[in-house]
Amino acid sequence: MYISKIHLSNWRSYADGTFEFVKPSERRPVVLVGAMNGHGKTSLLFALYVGLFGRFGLRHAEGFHLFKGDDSPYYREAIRNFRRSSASSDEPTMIEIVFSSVDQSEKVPEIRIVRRWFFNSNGQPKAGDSFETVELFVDEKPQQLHTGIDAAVARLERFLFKADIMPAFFFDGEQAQMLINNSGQDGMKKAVEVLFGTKVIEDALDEVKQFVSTSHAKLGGKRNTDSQQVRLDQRLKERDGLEGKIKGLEKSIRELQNAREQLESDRRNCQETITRLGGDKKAELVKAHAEVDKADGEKRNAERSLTEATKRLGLSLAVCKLAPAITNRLHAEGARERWENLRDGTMNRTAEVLELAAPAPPAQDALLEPLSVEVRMKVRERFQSAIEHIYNPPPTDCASEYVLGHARGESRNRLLNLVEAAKGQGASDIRARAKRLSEAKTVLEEANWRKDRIGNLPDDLEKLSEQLSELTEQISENSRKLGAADNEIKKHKSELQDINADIGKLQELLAKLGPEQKRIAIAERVRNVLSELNEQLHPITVTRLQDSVTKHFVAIADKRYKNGQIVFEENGKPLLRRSNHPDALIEMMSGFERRSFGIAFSLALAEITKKRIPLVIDTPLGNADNLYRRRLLKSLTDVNLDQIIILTHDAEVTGPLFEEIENQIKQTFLVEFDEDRKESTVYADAYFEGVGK
Amino acid sequence: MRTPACFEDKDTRPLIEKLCQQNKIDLQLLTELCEVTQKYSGSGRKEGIISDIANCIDAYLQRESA
Repeated sequence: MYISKIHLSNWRSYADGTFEFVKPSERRPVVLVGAMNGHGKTSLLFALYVGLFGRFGLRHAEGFHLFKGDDSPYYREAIRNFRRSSASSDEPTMIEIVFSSVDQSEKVPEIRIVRRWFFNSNGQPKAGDSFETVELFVDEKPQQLHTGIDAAVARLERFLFKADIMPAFFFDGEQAQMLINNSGQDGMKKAVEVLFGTKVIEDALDEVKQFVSTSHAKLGGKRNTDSQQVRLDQRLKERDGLEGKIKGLEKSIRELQNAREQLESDRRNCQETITRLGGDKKAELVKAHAEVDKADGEKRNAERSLTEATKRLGLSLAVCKLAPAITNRLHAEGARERWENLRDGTMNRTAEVLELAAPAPPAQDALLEPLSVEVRMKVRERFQSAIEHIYNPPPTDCASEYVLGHARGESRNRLLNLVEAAKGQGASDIRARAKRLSEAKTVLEEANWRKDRIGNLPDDLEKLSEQLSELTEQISENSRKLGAADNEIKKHKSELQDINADIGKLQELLAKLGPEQKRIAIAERVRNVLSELNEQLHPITVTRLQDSVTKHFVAIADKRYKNGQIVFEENGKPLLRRSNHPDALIEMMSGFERRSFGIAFSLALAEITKKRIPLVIDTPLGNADNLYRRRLLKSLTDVNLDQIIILTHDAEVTGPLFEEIENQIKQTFLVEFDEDRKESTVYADAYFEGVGK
Repeated sequence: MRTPACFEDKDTRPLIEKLCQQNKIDLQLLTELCEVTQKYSGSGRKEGIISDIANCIDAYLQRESA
């Protein structure tokens, strides 16, 4: 890309000056614009700043660095000062700049911007929006600037570079110090953004995030779409499980059906054999056999019952044997208990009876009064002995002691009843069971008699009958299993139907969501890439920039720095690092080194960015010595750029220096200021007298 | 619209390619998305950017299925 035209009208000393730059070639990228001091070089540089970015470009112009861009009165005043003082009031101040592509295959459009400022008859800027107009053309197509003239800035930044880094490409050699300052934390960030497209990546990350968010919102929110998918996955899993179960059951059913067919076939064969063997007696015989079986079973049951009862009879019999002794003992203990109760009752009242019968002296008793006290006491003792004698010895039916002492009163009576019951129970039970056995034997004998009366059938028939019975049982069991499996399948199929309906609905929903879901999935992946790139590009860029700045710096600066390395400390200012030397802050170095660094920084940006933005440098060589000038000029012209415009005064690029780069010069201009007319004139293909052709 | 420099740089391009590979997207998609972003960058009007991003992704999906 190169600047193909700069047209200035009523701009400082330019009444109407045009620089028409011819397309540079790879071998001849240099344009020299010669102008004596005060003839219009800086005005040309300022025209680039303000012409391109208006109020956003002004703060890059020397003397306006504190301008914030939103101070409208200040900006208007600045433009008024830039306006050619002798301009007619009806003529606006105008800057037109055109950028063209060197190589059509680059697909870089031609950018043309025309900025005009209007003034009143008293020379004051017009009020409001009528002060400034901007026209932007891309490949000659006028661009609609819907949001006002500032929209042009955003467009230009998209096609060219951000306004903030403009001083890295269009700068005054004296401004190198500013580049140093800008190359610190903030400058680095901006440089990185431009250099490696990290700003684009950062913006793309934001846009993709927005896209994901908008897409989710379209689908009812991230949770909704995710949950629908999760639900579908779950239902599909359930369906797979159910289908598996149904398949298993169907297989079981087929096996059961095959088994049933086999069983039924066996049963048919068995029945046929029985029929063949038993003829017309078969049914009767079968019935007789069944009766025999039944009677036999009953007999066996009766026998078993009798055996069990007999086993239990042991206890009953033992009880029966001891029953009289137990009963007698219980009765004897009962008699003793009654005697003891009577005796104890009487003895408890002995004192009372004695007092009634023979009161103890000195109690008055008419009958006993004649007796002495001693005799009275002996009478009492005798009487008491007589009372006690009443209950001795105990009655003959009394037990002498309590062997079954734990059973007394009502307990003894209950025990007596139980013993009595036990005596009869065993016998009656055995009798009943023996009767049942006897009856069963009779029934069996009768059944056997009936069976024998029908006739003897082959022995195999009985086995066949048993087999038939077993087959019938197996068929019945098979039917039960088949029924159960059928029911289970029906249940599962019903569930499957519900699940399929649900899956259908979910799939229908997700089919609608599908393409959007896919896009979201891809966008999420893009987001990951952009996010990681954002983090990882910065250190790489810093290293690249350090290397490139170092390369250009050591080429331009004094030879004692040739082994130095420019380092951009984290959040710090750039410094020069050399072995066996302390680190030197660039801003603390000499003016030439600072200038060298600034130009090296610009060249590094230009080199790494590969954006092929033209480089415009105002008086890069200044009053440096010849060696410095030679190194600097060589560095400038060696860098692979489409266009390098050097604004120079008469002492800079002349003589041998000019000759050294002459074969790289595409075009020269000479700007001369006419003191009488107070006007700068642009002469194409001209240069300082006596220099070059 | 120019591709961001980092896409062409000898040091950063392999990194971008590796990240694309890891995340199973192609470089073309990333480039196109950056171009779309550049196209709308600085413009107050963002109408159409969502649709343009969707188009880039659809084109990628078509490439993938092809």
